[in-house]
Amino acid sequence: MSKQQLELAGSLKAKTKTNPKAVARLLDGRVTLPDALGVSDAQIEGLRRQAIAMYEAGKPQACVDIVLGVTALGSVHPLDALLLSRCYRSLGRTTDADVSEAHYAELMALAVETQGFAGPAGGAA
Amino acid sequence: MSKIQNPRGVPQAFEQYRGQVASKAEAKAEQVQGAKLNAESRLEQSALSQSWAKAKDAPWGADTALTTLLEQVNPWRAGQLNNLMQTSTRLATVVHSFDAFCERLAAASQGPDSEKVTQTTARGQHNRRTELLGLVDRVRTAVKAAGAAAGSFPTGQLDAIEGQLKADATVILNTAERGGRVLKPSLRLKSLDGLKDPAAHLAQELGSPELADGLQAAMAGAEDPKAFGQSLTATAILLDEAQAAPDYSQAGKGWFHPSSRRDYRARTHDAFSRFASAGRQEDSRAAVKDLLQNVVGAKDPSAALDAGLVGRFLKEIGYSAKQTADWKPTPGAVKEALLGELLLPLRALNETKHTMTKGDDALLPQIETSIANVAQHIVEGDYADWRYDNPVSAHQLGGLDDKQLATWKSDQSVKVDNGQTQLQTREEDGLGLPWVTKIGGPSHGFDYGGECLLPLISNGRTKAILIDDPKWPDNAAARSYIRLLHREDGSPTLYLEPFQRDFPHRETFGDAPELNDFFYSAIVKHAVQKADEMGLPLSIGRQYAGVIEGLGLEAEPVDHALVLRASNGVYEASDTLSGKHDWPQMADEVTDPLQRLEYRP
Repeated sequence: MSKQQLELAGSLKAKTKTNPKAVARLLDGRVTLPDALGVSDAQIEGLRRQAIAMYEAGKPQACVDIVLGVTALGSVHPLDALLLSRCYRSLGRTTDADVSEAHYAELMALAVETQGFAGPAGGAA
Repeated sequence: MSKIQNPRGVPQAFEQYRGQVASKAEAKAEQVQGAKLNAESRLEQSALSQSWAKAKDAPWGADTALTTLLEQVNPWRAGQLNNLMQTSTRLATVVHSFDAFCERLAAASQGPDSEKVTQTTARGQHNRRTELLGLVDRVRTAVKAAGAAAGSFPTGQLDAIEGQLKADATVILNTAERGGRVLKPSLRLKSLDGLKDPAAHLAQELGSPELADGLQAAMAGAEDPKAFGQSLTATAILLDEAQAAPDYSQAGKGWFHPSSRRDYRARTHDAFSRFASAGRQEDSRAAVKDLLQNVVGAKDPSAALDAGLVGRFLKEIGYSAKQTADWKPTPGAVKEALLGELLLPLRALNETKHTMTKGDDALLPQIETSIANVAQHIVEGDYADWRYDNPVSAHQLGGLDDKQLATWKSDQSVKVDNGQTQLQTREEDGLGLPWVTKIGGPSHGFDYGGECLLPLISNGRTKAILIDDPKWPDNAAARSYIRLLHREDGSPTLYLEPFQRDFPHRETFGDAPELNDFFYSAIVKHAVQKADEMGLPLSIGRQYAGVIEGLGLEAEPVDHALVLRASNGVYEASDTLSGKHDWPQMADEVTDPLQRLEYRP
C-alpha cells in the first residue's frame, strides 16, 4: 500500500469520531463546516485529486459530485470551474458548462491578477 | 425614515410589515404637511391671523395652536387635520416601535436574553440551518463519489452535524410558524353559568380527556357543585385568555396592538405579538393543566380550585407570590375580573410599567405602586370604592356635600332618539374602566400608553360616560370623560371632555358630522342631567356650541383657569386641560385659562 493510500484510508476511529461541542459551535455560527467536521487541508486536497482522477477515468458525474462537495467545504480553486465545465459538457449539460466556463475565466483572471496561478498539487486537467 | 439595522436579523414578515407601514407613514406625513400649509393660509386670511402669528411659536406646540385656532374658523377642517395628524403620528409610532424592538434584540443578543433573541430570529436561524444542510448534503455526495479515496473522511461527525441540523430546523420552523398562527376568538362568557359542562370543555381545550371524568367526579362530590362548576368556568375563561394573550413582557406596548375591544375578542393580534407570545401561552396552558390535575387529586378539590385560580390569575398578570404576599385576593373578585376580561389590561400595565417613565426613572416606584394598587383592589373586590375613597381621590372630591358626592358616584342614564336610533348612556366607574380607552382615540389604551390610562383607573375625580347603541351590542359605541374639578376659589365644577367613537362602529355606520353630533348630544344631555342633580356648573368645549343649542340649552362663553388636584395615578392625561397630552401630576396645579362654554343649572 502506498503512502497516499495509507493516508486516505485512515483509521476507523478518525472516521467515526464525533464532537458534539463542534456541532454546537457550528450551529451558533462560531466555526465553519470544515472546522466542525475537523477535516484537514490535506483531506480536502485528496478529494480534489480524486475528482481529477475521476475525470480522467471518464466518470464525469462522480467528478462533479466531488468538486461540488469540495467547494461546499469552502475550498475553491480555479481548476474546479474548469473541471465542472468539461464534465457538464460531456454530460450534455451545455448551459451549466457555459456558466462554469465563464466562472473559470473570471477566477483565472482574478488568480493571475492577485497571486499568480499555480496548478493544483498532484495533477493537471 | 432611517432604519435601525438588527445585527441578528428579524423575521422577514416583520421586515415587510415595517416597510409597508413606513411607506404609509411617509405618505401620511406628506399629506399632513399639505393640510397644515392649507390651514395656516386659512388662518392668515382670517380674523385670527394675529392670534396665529403669536401662537405658532407657543411652547406647547404650533400643531396644537393650529388646530385649536382652526377649530374656530372651520371646525370640520380642524377635525380633518386633527385626524390626519393622529393617523400620521400613529403610523410613525408603529415604525418607531418596530425599530425599538430591533434595538432591544440587538441589545439582548449581547446579554442573557440571547435565548429570546434566538427564538425571535427563528426564521433567520432556520434559513442558516437549511443552507448548512445543503452544504452537508453536497459533502456527503462527494465522499460517496470519492469511494475508498475518502476513507478517512470524518463521516461520523458529518452524520452528527446533519442530525442536529435537521432536528433544529424542524423545531425552529415550528417556532417561526407561531407568528402565523390563527388564534381562536374569545369565549366571551357573560356569566359564570355560560358553559354547559365546564369540566368537559376544559378537558377538550387541554387535550386531556381523562381530566373530564376527574373534574366531574370532584364537582359531584363538592359541597356546592354549582359553585365548583362556576370556578371551573372561571378557569376556562382564564385558560382561554392566557393561551391567546400577548406576552407584554416580550411584545411591549405600542400601536401595533388592536385598537378596539372587538379586535381583542377576535384575537387579531399582529404577527409580532403572536410570535413573541407563543412560549408564554404554552407555559400558561401547561400550568392550567397542572392546576386541574392537582384539583382532581386534592383532598378538598373546591378549595384547591379556588386557591389555584387566584394564584394563577396573579401570575398571569405578572405578579409573583412574594409581590402579593400582603394582598387579600378573593376567588369571587378574581372571577369578576375574569368575566370583565381584565387579564390583558392588568398584565399590560404591569409588564410595560418600565416604559411609562418618560425618561424620569424616579417615577418608576410610584408608577409600580399605582399599578399594583389597582390590581390589588380589583382582586380584593373593593376596586370601585377604593377608587373614590382613597385619600388622594377624597381630596379631589373635596368641596362636595354628601348628597353631591353620592350623586357623583351614582350611575345615571339618559336616552336620545333621532327617529332611527335610540341611544342610551351609562356611567362606568368600575371593572369596565380599563377597556374604556379601547373605544376610539387609542393613545390612552392599556397597551399603547398605559401611563395615560393610569389616571382614569386611579382617580375618583374622573368617570366615563358610555353610549350604548342597540345596533352595536358588543361594547359601548362611544365614550367621554367627565371630571370633577375646582375653580380657583375652591368651588367644584364638572368638566366634560370631547367624545370618542368606537373605531369599528365608525367604520360601520360612517363619520357624518350629524351622526357625531347626535352621539355627543347624548353625552351632553347626560352631563347636564348630572350637573342639574349635583347643582354644579358644567364646562363644555366651545366646538360643541351647536350641540348645546340643538338641545335647547344655554351656555355662556367663559375664559378661566381650573384647579387640577393631585393625581392618584402619577399622571394625568387630557387633550383639553393641557397641550401636553399626558404629564406627571403629583401635586395640585392650575391650568392655563381655558376658553370654554359653561352651563349653569
